[in-house]
Amino acid sequence: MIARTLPRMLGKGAHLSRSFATSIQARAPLVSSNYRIASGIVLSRTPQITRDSTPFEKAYFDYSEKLERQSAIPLPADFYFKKGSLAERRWKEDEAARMKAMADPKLSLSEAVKETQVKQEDADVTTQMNKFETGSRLSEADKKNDIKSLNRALQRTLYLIVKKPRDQHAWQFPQGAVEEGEYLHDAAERELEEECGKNMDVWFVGRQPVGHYAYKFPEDHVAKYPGATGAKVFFMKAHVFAGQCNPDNKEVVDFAWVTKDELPNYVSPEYFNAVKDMLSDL
Amino acid sequence: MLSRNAIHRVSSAARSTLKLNRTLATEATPSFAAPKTNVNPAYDEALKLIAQDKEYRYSMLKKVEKELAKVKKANNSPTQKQQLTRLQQLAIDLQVKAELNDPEVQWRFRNGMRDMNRPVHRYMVEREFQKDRKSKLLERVLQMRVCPDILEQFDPTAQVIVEYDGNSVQEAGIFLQPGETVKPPTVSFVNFHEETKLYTVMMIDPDVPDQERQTYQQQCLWLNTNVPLSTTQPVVSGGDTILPYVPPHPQKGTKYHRYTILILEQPSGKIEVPSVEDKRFDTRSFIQQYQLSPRGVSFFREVWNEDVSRIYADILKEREPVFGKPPKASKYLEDVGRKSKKYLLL
Amino acid sequence: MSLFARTGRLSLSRQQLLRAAAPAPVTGGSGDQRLEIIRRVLFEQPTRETPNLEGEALQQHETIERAWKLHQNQERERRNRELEKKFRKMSAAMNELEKTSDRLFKAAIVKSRHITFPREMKIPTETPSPQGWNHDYTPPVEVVPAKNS
Repeated sequence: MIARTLPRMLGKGAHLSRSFATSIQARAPLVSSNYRIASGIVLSRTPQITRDSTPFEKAYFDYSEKLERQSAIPLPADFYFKKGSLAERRWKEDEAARMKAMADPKLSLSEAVKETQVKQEDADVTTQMNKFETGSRLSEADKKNDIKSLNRALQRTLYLIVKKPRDQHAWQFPQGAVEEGEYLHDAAERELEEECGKNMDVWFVGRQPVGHYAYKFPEDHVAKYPGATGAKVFFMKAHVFAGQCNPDNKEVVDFAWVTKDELPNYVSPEYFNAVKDMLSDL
Repeated sequence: MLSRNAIHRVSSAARSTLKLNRTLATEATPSFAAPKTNVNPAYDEALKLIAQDKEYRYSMLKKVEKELAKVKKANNSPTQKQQLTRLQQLAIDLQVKAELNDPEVQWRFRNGMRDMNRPVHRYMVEREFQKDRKSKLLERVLQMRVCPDILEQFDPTAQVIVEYDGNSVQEAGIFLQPGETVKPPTVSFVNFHEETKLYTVMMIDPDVPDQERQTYQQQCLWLNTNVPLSTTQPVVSGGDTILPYVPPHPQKGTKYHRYTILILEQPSGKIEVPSVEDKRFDTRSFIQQYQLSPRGVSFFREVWNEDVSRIYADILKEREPVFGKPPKASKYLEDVGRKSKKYLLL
Repeated sequence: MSLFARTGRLSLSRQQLLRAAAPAPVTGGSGDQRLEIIRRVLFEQPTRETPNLEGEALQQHETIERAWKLHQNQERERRNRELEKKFRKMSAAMNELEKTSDRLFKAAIVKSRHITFPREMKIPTETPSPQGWNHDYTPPVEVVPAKNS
């Protein structure tokens, strides 16, 4: 019974939250057993490029490439290349470089060919024009250490953290109170839009929280706003595909895209211990 | 000491145990020559990775050993025994995995220099048996019906090596000559437990004709109980000899005999066996009576030749029986060309 | 001796192959010699031979392969550990949510009827896009159909 009625209820809830999004103050925050319930957003940018291979991986790939070549069927060059053509000349140069690399265990096949290809490109104008352009694995943002850019640390997962206008516990994941009658995932979507702007292409992975963190409010805060002694944050996972965070400068004054390793530089140790297990190492 | 010639005939497994048991010190063993480094970068990096892993596992092992000492001190814990066995298993696992990738360990194993004191070699020998030898052994045992004929099918845990003077049973079920098996064999059971356990070792011939009952009977040719075996002492010696060794003597006129060597563990410790009759031996009821659990098996086959007559005359001191099919009366011809009567007049 | 220093020594089948790959001798001008080459390329594909290593090269090879297996094992264990941590964290969060609010918990366990997966999701590539990240994204403007009064 519940299973059948819930989707409909959910639909209604989603509709309600959307209609109330324009009038935020209309609703009271949700409190359960003296804890205010909040919804946090772990917004991640997945790795854009493969990780660097370790020295062993690199050596192993070179080794197996050579082993493979040793047992491979030789290419019938006459079949594929016209005699005296440019393509044949280039292939022969590559082949000579490969033969040289085979005799030297410290030289890898792909590197040997790369060198000759660079020479060929320098010599030839047409290839320079048709050259296939690739980005650099180490970006400008990495060199400048621009923590606001999404072009940085391309091999790692980046997480969005925002700065609140206060001295203690200023940096944290974007979060906001869940209102009465609202669900966690609705609150997460609403809060992200409110705090970080609309100019991000975001996908929320599911409706289940990926982690939680409970903390007590300081006593002066409780005296000022009675009703709740602490907060429970449930983190929702999301991915960003394009766009940039635009802080509203009211609730949030600054932001940064950081890796898991960089996170302890911004947040308190308790906060980091609570969230570290739900973040990716790479 | 075996002759040079004999060594060549022994299988690699048998050779390894031979070295292990006797001649490790006397024969000049080749020493491990590691390949040159700084030639192939992949090899250098591989060595680095293996060394790193080894170091890590040994550091873990130190932690486990500390934990072990702590658990041993705590006397009043109800789960102490469980914890101890788990930690000991973990320690052995760490030791094995730390050493397993070492090129020298691999090289020594491949060249038959197996040191059963080291956990890593024990692990490798056991894995070799489980992965490779066991299936072949079971195939032979089942194909030649040793298993349903003598006892039910069971799961052998380790290899049984049977060596006669200058000859060894490399593969279960090979044919040997009766002349080669006059003296008792050296039986070794390549087990993997460090502590000494007691075993019963027996040799059964299930193919002796039983003329009275017109069937076959089992004969126990050799029965030793309370044989202490451990991984460093795999050779069967000592214990109580209930039935001394009788050389295999396949009777004339019978088909091949399967001489089966069984290794049975005595889980409840020492057993007292009064004298047993070797003829019409019942292995199944013997196992049940003394609550033994079969652990290893090996067998070889023999057929009659002239040596058997000599064994009967010199060792058994009996008249040699000769078996054959009973002469069949012709149904149709009585004398030359005359048909026998179908109905007799009484 | 290095593994690759003996490239000069070739096996029989490889010699045959090289001969097949070499241009066919010109025979009296009758017939197209290209056909012969095509025939060889298409049909004469002998099985690839594994390099027969021996001695030191074999020992090195085995050590390298062992290390590669070890490396893969380590990577797999690392990944599994990370996944397990994430899973435990998630399950703890769900338990906490169940204790906190029944309504929120029930909403969280409901699967959406329209399970979607973004096509913008990409797997990592060897080099990044030359354009880099699109920082100037703006959401598409919703086209509201004009209402007929």
